[in-house]
Amino acid sequence: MLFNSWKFMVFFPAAAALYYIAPARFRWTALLAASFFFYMVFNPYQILFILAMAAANYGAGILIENAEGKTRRAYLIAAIVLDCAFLFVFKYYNFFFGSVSSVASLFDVALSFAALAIIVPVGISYITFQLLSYSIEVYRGNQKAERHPGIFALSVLFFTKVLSGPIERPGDLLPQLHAAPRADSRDIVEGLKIMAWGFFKKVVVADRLAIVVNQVFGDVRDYSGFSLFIAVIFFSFQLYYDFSGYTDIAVGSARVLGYRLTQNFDRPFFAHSLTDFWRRWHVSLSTWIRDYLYTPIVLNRRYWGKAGIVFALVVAFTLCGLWHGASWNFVLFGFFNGVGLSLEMLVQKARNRLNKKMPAFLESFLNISITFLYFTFTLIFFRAATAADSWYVITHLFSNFGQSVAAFFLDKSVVLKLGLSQFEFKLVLFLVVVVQILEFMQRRGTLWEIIAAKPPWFRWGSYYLMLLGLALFGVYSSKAQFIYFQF
Amino acid sequence: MKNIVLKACSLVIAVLLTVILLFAAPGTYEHPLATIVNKVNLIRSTSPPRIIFVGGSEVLVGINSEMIHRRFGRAVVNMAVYGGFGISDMLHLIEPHVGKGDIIVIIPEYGVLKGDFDSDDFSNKWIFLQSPKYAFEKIYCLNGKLEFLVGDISDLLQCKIEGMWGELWKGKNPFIDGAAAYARRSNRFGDLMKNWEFVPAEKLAGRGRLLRPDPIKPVIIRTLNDFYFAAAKRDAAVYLSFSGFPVGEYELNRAVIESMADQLRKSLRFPVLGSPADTIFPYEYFSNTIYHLRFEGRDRRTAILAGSMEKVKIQPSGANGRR
Repeated sequence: MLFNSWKFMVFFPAAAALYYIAPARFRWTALLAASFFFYMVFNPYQILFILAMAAANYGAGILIENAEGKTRRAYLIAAIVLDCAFLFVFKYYNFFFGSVSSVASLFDVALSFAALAIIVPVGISYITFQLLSYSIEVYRGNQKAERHPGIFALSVLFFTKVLSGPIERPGDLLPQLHAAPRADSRDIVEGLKIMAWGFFKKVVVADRLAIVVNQVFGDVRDYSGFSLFIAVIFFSFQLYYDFSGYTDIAVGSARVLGYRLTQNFDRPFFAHSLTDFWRRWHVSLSTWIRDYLYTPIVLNRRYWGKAGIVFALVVAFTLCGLWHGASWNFVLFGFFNGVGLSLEMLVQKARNRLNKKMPAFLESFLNISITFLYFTFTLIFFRAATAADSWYVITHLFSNFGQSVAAFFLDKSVVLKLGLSQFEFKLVLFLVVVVQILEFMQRRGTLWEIIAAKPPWFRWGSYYLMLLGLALFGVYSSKAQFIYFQF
Repeated sequence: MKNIVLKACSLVIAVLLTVILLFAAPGTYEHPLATIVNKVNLIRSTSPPRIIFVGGSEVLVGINSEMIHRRFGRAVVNMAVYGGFGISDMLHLIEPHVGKGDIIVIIPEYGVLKGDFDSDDFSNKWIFLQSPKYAFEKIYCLNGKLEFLVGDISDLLQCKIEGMWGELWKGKNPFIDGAAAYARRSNRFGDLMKNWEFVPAEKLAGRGRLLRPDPIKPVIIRTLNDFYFAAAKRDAAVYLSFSGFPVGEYELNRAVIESMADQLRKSLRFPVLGSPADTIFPYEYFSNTIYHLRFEGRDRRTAILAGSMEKVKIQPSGANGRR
């Protein structure tokens, strides 16, 4: 049951009604039942694996809390190994042994392995990271082991965030689940607004950008120059609106129920550096990587000096790339982000000197552009079907660039070949610009705070336009799922 | 809380009213299948007795209605549209407009008779636009496609906004109902007036796939006969004719085509005009597909069709050659 499906449009109001009708002390039961149903719609049997993982971590948490010294550490390691083993078997087994066998074949060694034909449980990457975070926090003493099995199961399966996060920290979510928030009309209204904006970003903007991206990346060798360049840029925006749209729906639906989830995005395309970018992009994942991968590696390699930081960045981000999917393309995506962050750290002083010499506007413009373009470059690996396709895109991005730009503006068939009519192309550009302007305005507060300060006609006019835009310009025929759903 | 619910409901109602208003108001659509709007308007505005041609793009580009009009002295309506509509849906859209003395000539492409081309997710929305009740019941509800309806309405409105915006931009009236390019590309009878570019024969040869040897599906025969009975009640006559086909493709599928023609002659309750062999032409007469005749082929085919119509005593006025 995807958020952008009619099933969810029926399910969510029913779940919210059930939640608010239930007596306060049974609300968690109502929410857990709704979450079970939500998850089981995808595949009724996969929930057993998730429950097994949850049960193991629930038990591990209590054992870790009650143990001391080496035993405590052993329980933590056992929990980590178990979680990673689950993830490995479901997501990485075929990729790992396939890669090993490919490498072996280079040395004329024939290795055969039985590929697993299993369906990856929905949301397993997010669930694993959340459970790892729980065990580690209990071990570190920052979190008390959860004794209520129902609440613990709910923290894992909570339907608003089980598909694609945000990856909630136990300290943020568990206390809220215990508190069982009371109905608050402000929360409901705020939540619905956030959800509507999320749907707008997904259905109106991201899914229309997806038409071009899917068309071009479906057969990259059919395109070169400016057409490829547009598809690559469009993918950056598509990914952002798709995932931030999803997150808004997740955060908004949780808010309707009175819960507050982590905001995953903070205007990332206005970041002044790659470091700044990763503080604003997929925040719940990047902070997880920082806290549980990067920082421990840096501390472990502190005697290496800057080389230790570079090592930590490259390793942490390569693993971050691998987290996205079992493919070398994702590994390269993460690797190049790690390399970019390392370079940025190494030339920090020179950059500061250069920035001081430039006018503030130019400095901002250059830094934002370079950051955006570098991240967009790494996304080529993220989107292309194979490493060979990525290489083709990179090597043909600027071939006959001048000619292809001219052809783009003079020959209508070039835009049509991208899958959109002239009108749709202009519309999508307009929408991207409008949404980015709205993002820029949010440096002074959230969109809703800004709108709330305006007169009623402006407020209601904005809501009306947003809903009308959703009704008139949404792409409903593609039935596109969320990009991060696959992870 | 009650206040919030009231405000939210008002907002949703305002949006819905806007959508309904935009849907109901006349406007230009930027889509070739929107031609169906023009065609229905054309049949509505032309008084019987008429000669009405029904088919896919083969009829849209392959009939010279002017020639038929001159020969029979009757109003002619070419109701054909680009492929995408199934024969049953197309006949449903025409049926309410059939009048006394009308002569309807149905010319299905061979693939249509085989059931290969039917209304699909792409064309359903246009049927909904013309006949919402029929589409809702027969397409969306019956085929379990109700979840697509909202998306299809949104698609229709997007085509309309795009078409109206385009017309406004050109300084034209955006409230003319139908396809944006219809007036520019069609004649007064509804023929698409485009002489397709010449395509060397070797590029066309073999582009048509082999027709399956199985007989025409009973549901198609039933649909055609049902339409005939409905037309007969309105004192109109129905005929079936064969589509133009390149000689090479005909030879390749000869046995199947002849057996289809036999089946049609035996099963249909109304006359079949001529035989498939009458309308086979050299590849040079065709353009981008084996169904699209160029002007030269179109005129020759129209003359042959007119001859077949005369043979069954279709008269310039009044008496129809009904069986």
